[in-house]
Amino acid sequence: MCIAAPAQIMEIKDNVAIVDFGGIRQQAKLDLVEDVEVGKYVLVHSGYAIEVLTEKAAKESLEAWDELLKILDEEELS
Amino acid sequence: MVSTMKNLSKEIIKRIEKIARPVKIMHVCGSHEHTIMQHGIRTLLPPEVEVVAGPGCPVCCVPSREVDECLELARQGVTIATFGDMLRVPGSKGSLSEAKSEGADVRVVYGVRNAVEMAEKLDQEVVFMSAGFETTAPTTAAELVAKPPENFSILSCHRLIPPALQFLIESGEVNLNALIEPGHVSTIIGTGPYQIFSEKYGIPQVVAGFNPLDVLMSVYMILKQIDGGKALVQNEYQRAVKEEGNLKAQKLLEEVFYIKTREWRGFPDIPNSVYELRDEFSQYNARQKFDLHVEQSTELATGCICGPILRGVARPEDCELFKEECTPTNPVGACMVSKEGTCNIAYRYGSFV
Repeated sequence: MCIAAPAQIMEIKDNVAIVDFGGIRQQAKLDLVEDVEVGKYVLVHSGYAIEVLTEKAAKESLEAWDELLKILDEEELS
Repeated sequence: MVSTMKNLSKEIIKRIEKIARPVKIMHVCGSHEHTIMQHGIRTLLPPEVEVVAGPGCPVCCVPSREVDECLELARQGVTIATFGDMLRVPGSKGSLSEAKSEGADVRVVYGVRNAVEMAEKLDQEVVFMSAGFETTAPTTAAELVAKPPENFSILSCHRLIPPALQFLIESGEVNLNALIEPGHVSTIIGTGPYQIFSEKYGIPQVVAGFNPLDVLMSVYMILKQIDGGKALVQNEYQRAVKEEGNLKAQKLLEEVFYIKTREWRGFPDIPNSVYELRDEFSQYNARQKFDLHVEQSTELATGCICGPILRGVARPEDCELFKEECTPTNPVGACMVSKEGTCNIAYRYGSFV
């Protein structure tokens, strides 16, 4: 039930955004986040944006895991 | 180099195999269990690396008493709004779904916002049965500070994850060595509340996301900690979890709720484990507004082992009712009702290996 999905902000009116989940658009309230603007990515849970994401984070780029593995390997050597 | 998901998984599994040792890792999130079962992650791990599911489904953790409270409200003619998964969760006198079929006004909503909108359009009393962990509780808090209409109130069933972890660690029943912490609960609370489990009990922990790579990576990070003789809280899900969490949401939680002791399904009273509304918001507290006094009741149908399953000491396959009397169409226990329940997931994605 704690499911949340990344979406991009398309419009903002008062404290409600229209967000795009890669084709599907829904309303998301912005009461729980700060510094949002059209074009930014947010994590949406139960009709609320609960965190602001970078574009890279929202797109779950595989590079992130590559980088994490590299960091973990370096830890081992140090 | 751009990796494919397959290559990356293989790479992580290779590393896991290199440092594998007998370990019991508990996760406490229905979405983690879903990822694990859907992608057969348990079959990919060395047999000595065991990943068990704990109380990770907030709907399943709602005890009979709270369902009974809602049934009492429905009986009084109040309109009940709640999440779809809540409807068939059994109380001691039936479920909301049964009450609905007998004429009670029970409606399914996507979130608390829809329940408030419903109250704005209706004349009668609307009570939102608000289940959910720390991820969901701030959405309820945000609606309440915005002053919803007078005919709106909530029955708070919101629960906190860290007190349940503390209970499980201290009880020793499940004998867990490490924890995969729930990503979206952590988006709100941050990594701080978990520190004590590493410091006081020497438990390695990794906050993880919900992609199969996240889960594999978190298992690797845990094994790596154990291999290096460490017990830390690491954050694998940095794309959505900040160390300090979501401060704005935390402030709202603090403003609207206080924390009290109450039972969970399958658990006795867990100290400081549920959110209840502060006095300043008592006009929105259905328990006070409708003077509810429902006694704690017997939990489980005969033969149902939801309790041990929620505590991580049994698997669905250990239950005599699993796939027999108890199926997603005709659930006996709460863990079969919700799509995030361990039994429901096991039913859909096959046997636990």
